[in-house]
Amino acid sequence: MTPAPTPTPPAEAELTQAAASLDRLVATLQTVLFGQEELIELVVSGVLARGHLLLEGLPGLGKTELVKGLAHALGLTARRVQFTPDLLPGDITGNPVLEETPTGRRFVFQRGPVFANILLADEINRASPKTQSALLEAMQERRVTAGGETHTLPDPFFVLATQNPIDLEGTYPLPEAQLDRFLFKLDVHSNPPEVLKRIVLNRELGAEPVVAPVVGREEFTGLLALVRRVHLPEVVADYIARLVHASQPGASAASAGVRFGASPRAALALAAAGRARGLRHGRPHVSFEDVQAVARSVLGHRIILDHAARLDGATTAGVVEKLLAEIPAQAKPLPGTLAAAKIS
Amino acid sequence: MISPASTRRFWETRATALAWRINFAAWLALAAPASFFVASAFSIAFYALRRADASLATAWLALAAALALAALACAWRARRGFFNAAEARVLIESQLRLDTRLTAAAAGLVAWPAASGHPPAVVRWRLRAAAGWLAASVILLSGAIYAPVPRDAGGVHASGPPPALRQTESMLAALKEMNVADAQSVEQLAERARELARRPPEEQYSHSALEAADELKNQTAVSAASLARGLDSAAGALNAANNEPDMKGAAGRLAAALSGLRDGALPPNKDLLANLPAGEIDLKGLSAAQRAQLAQQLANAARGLRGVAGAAGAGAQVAGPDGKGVGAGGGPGGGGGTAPLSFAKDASDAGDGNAQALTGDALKRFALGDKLGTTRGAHDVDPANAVGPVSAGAVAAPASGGEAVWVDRLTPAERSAVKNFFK
Repeated sequence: MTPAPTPTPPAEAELTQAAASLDRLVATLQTVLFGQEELIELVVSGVLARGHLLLEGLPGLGKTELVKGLAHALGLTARRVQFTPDLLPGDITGNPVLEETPTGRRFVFQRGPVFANILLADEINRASPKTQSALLEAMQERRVTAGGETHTLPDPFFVLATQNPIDLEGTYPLPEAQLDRFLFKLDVHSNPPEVLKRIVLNRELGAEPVVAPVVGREEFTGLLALVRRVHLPEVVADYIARLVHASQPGASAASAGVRFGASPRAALALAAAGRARGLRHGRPHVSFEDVQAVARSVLGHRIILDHAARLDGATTAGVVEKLLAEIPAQAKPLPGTLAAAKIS
Repeated sequence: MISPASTRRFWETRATALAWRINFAAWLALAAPASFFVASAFSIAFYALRRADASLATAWLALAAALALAALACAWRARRGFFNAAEARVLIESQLRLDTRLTAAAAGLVAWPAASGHPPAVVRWRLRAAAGWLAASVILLSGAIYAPVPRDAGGVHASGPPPALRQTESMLAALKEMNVADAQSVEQLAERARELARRPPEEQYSHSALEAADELKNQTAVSAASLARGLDSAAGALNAANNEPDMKGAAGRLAAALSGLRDGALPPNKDLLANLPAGEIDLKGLSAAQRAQLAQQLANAARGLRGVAGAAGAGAQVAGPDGKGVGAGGGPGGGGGTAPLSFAKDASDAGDGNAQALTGDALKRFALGDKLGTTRGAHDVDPANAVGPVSAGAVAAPASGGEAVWVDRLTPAERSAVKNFFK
């Protein structure tokens, strides 16, 4: 098997231009959602990595506004679907409809809301597993098969889903296979008083913020292509591999209580998200810091704890923190007569 | 302005230096405990050589060679943990949070980061354990080299037989020379001494051999003292005969003394026994002067024997029959003064056939086989009151069928069970 050709790393000028575009995008999103700079950075990185995002948080924190603002800022088509228990797969993917034509009756595929650049799946955990599964093919292969025909989804295609962590009645937790297809699972936290004050002063109930497109579709497509050219050094790839492997049960001290570790798709997700973050910070390569910055969002929902660990109060976020602390950037451990210095 | 080449050189030098430092630390982590084990083995060797008064020059060379070999082996074993410059570079950039710029710069993607004069150290030493191993090694070797060596330790190199055996041999030689004790008995003791002396020198100082020699010495001394006591008793009886008109009491005491002499562990010479009056008639057959002379000879012989026993430090406190005690009779262990006759608190002459209390301490002065005293008597049985043997479990009265049978004599086990029940 011949290795994949190494893409040319982005040039300095390309990096500068990309950084400027992304700065505009981030600045625009910060006018939509106040006080969530880190979340916005991760959302932008996730989108640049062509990943699907799952936002989890209490109602009213601005999850939907952020997704809509992102769609507007990028000038992409966006559809929103409110997931409910009675939602059917065809309500998302589309249905074949019997149509009267001059040549006779025939079934014509009526496209569903999934045929958009951005699908906002609001409260995705309220739909039945069957409906949730309808998104699997769309998310992984970016196409829909209905009535024996396969329909390709628009490019780019993202699913930005939200879910409410407190309502358990009438919800269907996403299965692991579905969760694994989300690049990031991002927690949307509540706002501190100063941010709330900004919201009260700048917003009005029921009035949506006006967001103008700041990054054109072509420009955004160019950014997506540029991300793929970001160089992944072998030492960083090795770090990703060791990090993901260490999440397997028994592979490290940090994985105590883990029932199932992260999958190889998680390693790919780390690399892709690392590339996107590298570009966001104007670098032609991925750094260890990039991987560490996205590891919590990439690995957190892909690690499954056993019951005993959960009863002991362990969390996947805690496991990821331990993994990051335990696995060093360098491949070999330091000898016992040396220790890494604490550098502030 | 610093040129790119110099910044590159700066970071590469840093990475190379860090790699050397890490590799040395990895080697030290193995070499420190290894040096301790080498030092332990050589400490024993050094100490043994010093005790044997051998030269240490070769041992020093062997130690140097062993340490060098251990160092090489540790380096070979630690090589998997060694860092190269690229790996050290990764450690630097991750610790200094340089966003992997050193690796990217080495790949030609970005410029080398600006070289600061003194970047912070990315690793720190943890030498407590290694220093502990090394210090323990030095202490062990120093102890082996400078610790004082006892020259006569162990007693293995002592010349000649143990002192107890030598004393026994001298006692037996003296007994033979005195010709008072039975030659055959003396020869038996001498044969036992020779048997101990025939053992190899290193075995003569073993615990069991020393104990046997001590035991033989004590037995010889006690036997000699016992013989002296018997002779004193006989001398006392002869002297008493001069003061008694009928000599009956003296004859009895003389007979008892002669009996004790014959039955003692070390009997007197047969010729000596034959010359002593055997009974009242023989005693009366001697003149007063002859009795006094004979008593004097016996007393002299007894004194000589006590001297032999006292020389071994045993039998010095054996009292004479006169109740006044006798001196040890000389010799280094003979002690001085007199010993009381009585074994009890109050001195008393119990006389023939009378019981006398012995304290626990007194028993130590007698050897196995010594006769403390004899008495003559007969069983005083009243045939009228004798009931004959009675077996346990006998019934009180014979019973016919259906009657209760009373058992008035229980077996010990039954008696114990009943006792326990009523407790």
